[in-house]
Amino acid sequence: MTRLRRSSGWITAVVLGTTVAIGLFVVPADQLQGDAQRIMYVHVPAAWLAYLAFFVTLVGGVGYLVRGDMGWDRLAAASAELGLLFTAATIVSGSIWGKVTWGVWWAWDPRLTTTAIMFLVYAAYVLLRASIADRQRRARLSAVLGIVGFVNVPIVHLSVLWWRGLHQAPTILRPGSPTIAPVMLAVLLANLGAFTLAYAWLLRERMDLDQSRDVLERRLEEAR
Amino acid sequence: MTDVGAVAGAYLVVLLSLAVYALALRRRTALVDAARRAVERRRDAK
Repeated sequence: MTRLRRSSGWITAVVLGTTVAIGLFVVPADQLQGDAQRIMYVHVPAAWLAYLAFFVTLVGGVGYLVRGDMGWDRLAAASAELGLLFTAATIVSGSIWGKVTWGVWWAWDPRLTTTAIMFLVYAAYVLLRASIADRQRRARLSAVLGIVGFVNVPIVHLSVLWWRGLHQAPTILRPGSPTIAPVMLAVLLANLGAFTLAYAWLLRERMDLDQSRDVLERRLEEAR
Repeated sequence: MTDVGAVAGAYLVVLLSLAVYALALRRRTALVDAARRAVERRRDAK
């Protein structure tokens, strides 16, 4: 690994640590929710990164079906795994916030339910990949699932507008101007940037792992 | 659960999951690379 690659990991960790510390210790607590609102600075970026990761899986799937190049498949697979990780982080951090604010760990609210469905769809994607040995078939079938599965992602985001539930409506990506204090918006966007950096770094590492596996498989085939 | 406990718990879960995933990726890549080198050594020794 080059020195640049190694230092990019540390730079990502420092940027993430800094923005997280600002969200924890610098920005004032919310007037109504108190300190519990600080969970938003990791919960919302994790949710947005899950959307982004699954969109990249969609792009990778389309790219593979159109071009037939395994690089697109590697991109889709790596991003789906990361999206699953960010979705899990979203659900757990949201559940903790729900316990403090709503008094329950979980409610069958439209946003929570559609997010759980999103998690299950991409868990199925990862399991499907693990269950097919043939590379081309695995890439083709998982590309289809990655494209079809993305249909639920906009539904997750719009669920708070379409149906009544416990989860609050969007405060930033909504019709009209954001309904959030500018300082909180700035910290949220800084955390979003840091999480995106972490996603990009992890995506690269995950794609490298798949590439290394492909090389190993080729060497093993040559040795037979 | 107190607000501070909830915040600490949520941040720990999110950041630790990212850190553990990153370390696991590094470990898996190192293992795959070591296996590839072993196969290449065996091939070259023939």
